[in-house]
Amino acid sequence: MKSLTRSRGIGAVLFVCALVAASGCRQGDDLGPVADPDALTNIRAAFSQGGESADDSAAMPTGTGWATLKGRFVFDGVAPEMDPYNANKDEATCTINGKAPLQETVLVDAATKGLANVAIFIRKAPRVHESAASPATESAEFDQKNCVFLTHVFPLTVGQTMQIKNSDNVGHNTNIEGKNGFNQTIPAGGTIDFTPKKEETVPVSVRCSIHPWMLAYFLPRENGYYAVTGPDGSFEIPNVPAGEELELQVWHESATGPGGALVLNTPEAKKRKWSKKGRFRITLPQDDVEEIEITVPASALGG
Amino acid sequence: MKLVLRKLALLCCLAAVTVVGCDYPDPDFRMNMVEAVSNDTGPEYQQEISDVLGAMFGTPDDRHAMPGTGLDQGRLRLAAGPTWTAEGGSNHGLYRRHCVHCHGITGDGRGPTARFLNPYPRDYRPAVYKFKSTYNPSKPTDEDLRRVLANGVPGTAMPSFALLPGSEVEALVEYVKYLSIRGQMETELIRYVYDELGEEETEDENGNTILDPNGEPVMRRIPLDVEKDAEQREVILEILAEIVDGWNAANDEIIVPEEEQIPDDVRSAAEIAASVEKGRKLFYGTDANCVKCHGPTGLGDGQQDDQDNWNKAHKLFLASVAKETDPAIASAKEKVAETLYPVRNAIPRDLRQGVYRGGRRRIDLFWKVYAGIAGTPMPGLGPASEGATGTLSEEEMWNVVDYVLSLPYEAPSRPQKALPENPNAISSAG
Amino acid sequence: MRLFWSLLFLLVPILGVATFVCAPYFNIVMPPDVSEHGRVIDHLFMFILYLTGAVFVVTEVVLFYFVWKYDAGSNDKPVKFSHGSHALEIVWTILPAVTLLFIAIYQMEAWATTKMQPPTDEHGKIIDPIVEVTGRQFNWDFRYPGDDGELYTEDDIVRTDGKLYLPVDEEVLLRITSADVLHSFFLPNLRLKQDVVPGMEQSMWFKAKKTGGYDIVCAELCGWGHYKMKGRVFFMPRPEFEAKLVEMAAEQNTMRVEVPEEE
Repeated sequence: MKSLTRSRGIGAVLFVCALVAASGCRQGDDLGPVADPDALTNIRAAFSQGGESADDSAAMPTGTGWATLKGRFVFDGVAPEMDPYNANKDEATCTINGKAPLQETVLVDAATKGLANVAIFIRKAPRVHESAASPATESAEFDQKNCVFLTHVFPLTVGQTMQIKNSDNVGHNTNIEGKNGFNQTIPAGGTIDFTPKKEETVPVSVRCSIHPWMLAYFLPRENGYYAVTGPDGSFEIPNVPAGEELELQVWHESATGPGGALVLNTPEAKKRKWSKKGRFRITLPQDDVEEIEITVPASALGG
Repeated sequence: MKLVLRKLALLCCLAAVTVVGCDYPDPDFRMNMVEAVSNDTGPEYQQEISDVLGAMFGTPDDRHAMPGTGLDQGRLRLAAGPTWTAEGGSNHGLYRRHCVHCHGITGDGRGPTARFLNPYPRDYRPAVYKFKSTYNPSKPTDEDLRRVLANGVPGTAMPSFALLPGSEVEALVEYVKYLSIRGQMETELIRYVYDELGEEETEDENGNTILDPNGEPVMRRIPLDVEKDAEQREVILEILAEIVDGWNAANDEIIVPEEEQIPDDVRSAAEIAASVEKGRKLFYGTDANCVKCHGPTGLGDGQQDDQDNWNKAHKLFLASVAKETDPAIASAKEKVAETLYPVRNAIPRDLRQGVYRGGRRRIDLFWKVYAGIAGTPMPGLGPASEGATGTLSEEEMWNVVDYVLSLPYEAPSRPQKALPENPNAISSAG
Repeated sequence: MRLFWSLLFLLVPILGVATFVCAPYFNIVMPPDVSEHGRVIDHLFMFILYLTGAVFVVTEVVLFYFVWKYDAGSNDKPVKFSHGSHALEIVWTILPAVTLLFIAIYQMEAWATTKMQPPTDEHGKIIDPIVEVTGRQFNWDFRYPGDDGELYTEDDIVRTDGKLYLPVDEEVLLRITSADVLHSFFLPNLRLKQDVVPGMEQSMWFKAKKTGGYDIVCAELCGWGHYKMKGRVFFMPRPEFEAKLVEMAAEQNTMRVEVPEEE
């Protein structure tokens, strides 16, 4: 009899423990803060007053003239080997001799160690030269062949027309995310025009749903103060406002900062006061051609 | 002694049973942690953003909508808050009564029953809606949202709410828009805080940077302080105005089919067959490329490796967790990653089933073919906006609609014929 | 103690009968019956209720009597063991058996007409289904055959808003299917219910006698949304029903949109 009571007692205790444990099983959906009720009334009162535009004097351009900013991004470290794309559809078109094209997430030129596809652009230009103002009149071609977007990072001035071309014998659909959402089928051998209307703060992705491995980036900006480094890592932005502080955003698709901001911790970056958001400031004297060289260590690209 | 122990044990069990389950989480709006953690939003900023959102949109029990949102307060009053019924019989707390268990109190599609559903319930916060009458990047109209409530979404767990009185449906539509606008505002605030605020160097009275003993500038955090900073207020009000404009513009962005290209209401069998044949050629052609995703027999087995926007965002977030180098951010990201539901691929629709999630009227299918389905890999074949270039003409799109509508009735699509013989079934041989 | 326990047991039949008698005053009644055959089912229900109710009262009163009379506290006579009574055993076996047999035979007709004998037309062929009802988690979808009278042809009308339209004063046959799990199509006002297993086709037939809207509910636990799986069936005269079908077919063929006026 005693053992029966004991086992019943143990059973009861275990049952209670199980209940307590189950009650503690949360789904973890209570991360993050909750609005503080005391703060709400004050903030509401503040909103009812409306807001004020930024102090105009601060936005007044202080410099005159124009300068040119150019330079190179150099990769420091062992260039990673790129895997081929996972081309599992339309192999006849999407593979060359049975091999899919290589990915382009980190492209380093073997000879010059230049880092390609780095986007660098001015965040807020106080003045805009007429050659960089929007809308530009020419249209820009964005082509795709062998199931690869031919321009991996494609910048555009808002108001320009993008001619999305499909040079393959299979159809593609070009799916652009972000504020200028676009998702349309481009017929084989055809061209579809697209005119984005809003600028983005960092490049957004461009994909194809039929061939989901296809990937490119798209950067619409309100002015022409942007550049994407070429295969040798060089870039040039002409006619930037001289005499005043410009803040430049630097971006690379494999960079570890939020949204792809290229965050550098090298001593030379610290000298430039390179921020954790991949930004640095520079002031150019009038008619100057400033050449900067920036070394990107492998760790900054997730290496 | 044994009896006393037994009674004590029983009492403890009873107490435990009554207490367990008394831990109802308060209905609070929760922050969009994926966005917050992806944008390095620190805890102080998260609290400040939460407070600003609380001021602009209230809390679930105390809803408030700033005049700038243009939302109807009366309808929100019916839809928000705890469920109760007034003397006259009008129901309040409609969202909690009907929607919260799937769509969540914040409208994030993470209610208690959400994880058991395929597809997952809609997350209103990105304000991307699949079943609408407008161009791909545009918002849905009120009529679109009403249709979804009236017909449900066949093929998913979303039922029809047509049996609710019209005033209750209107209230729910308004509340969904409210949650969407709030969600958009939250994302924009998080991005604004990341873009414009953050840390800055402290300066003394003369404007010189204060340096610490190492010669590094002393940084301080720029607070999101709406009460003191009029410029921040202005920016936030502008952001809100832009969001609300997007919603108000929906009625102007409805896709109206061209009258001359609409097929006749009454067509002969030969005309319909001709249209179906044209549609079939387009379906399999390289202009429309339907077959590439929907499969060579329309079963949806063409391309199943892609995800819709909501799942893709989670997939990219999970990938970024793996790549994260900063240990503090990595652990914050991991905590959020644990709460996410498993990523699911977007499987193209099996067109032979005849189940059309966005509605089965001809115009509903026309809109899907024209603009694609926002938030999913399904692309459009029509102009992306008024005046742009389309891939197919509208007449060709109506041909495709005819073909798609005929697919479930082709001989290979008749699963009823394959049903096992039911010996109790009434045989029609009378 | 004998008072307490015996009265406690007496309370059971008293409360049982009282609940039944007072229910109408609290509006707890059977929903109004609008079908032709519902009358038979209600009659059977009440007959069995009275019969079993009578037996229930009798047995409970007898139980009360025994609990009162043979209470241990007030009886000091030793227990008398009897060896049973053969006659009594026979009586209380045969009587209930006969009663049950009677009920079984009495209801055969009702069950057969509701569940086994679908309505036939003048040639003796079973009538075609007027609608196919598909239960899915958690909604009722309806498919009308359209002009050609055949289901799963191109002119079918499919409705997912939970509103079923049917003609009144006509024998109609419904086909019931399930899209995913067990459901049960229940029309309380017609006293009819049909469970449906996925993969099986079931049929339900009836003749409604009154126009108006009545509830459809799900009567088989199908998941967490079972409680809200509702619909509404509307009975209307045949011409109105035909017009409704035309209206729904036209809606399915909509190819134009009305842009709302600027507010």
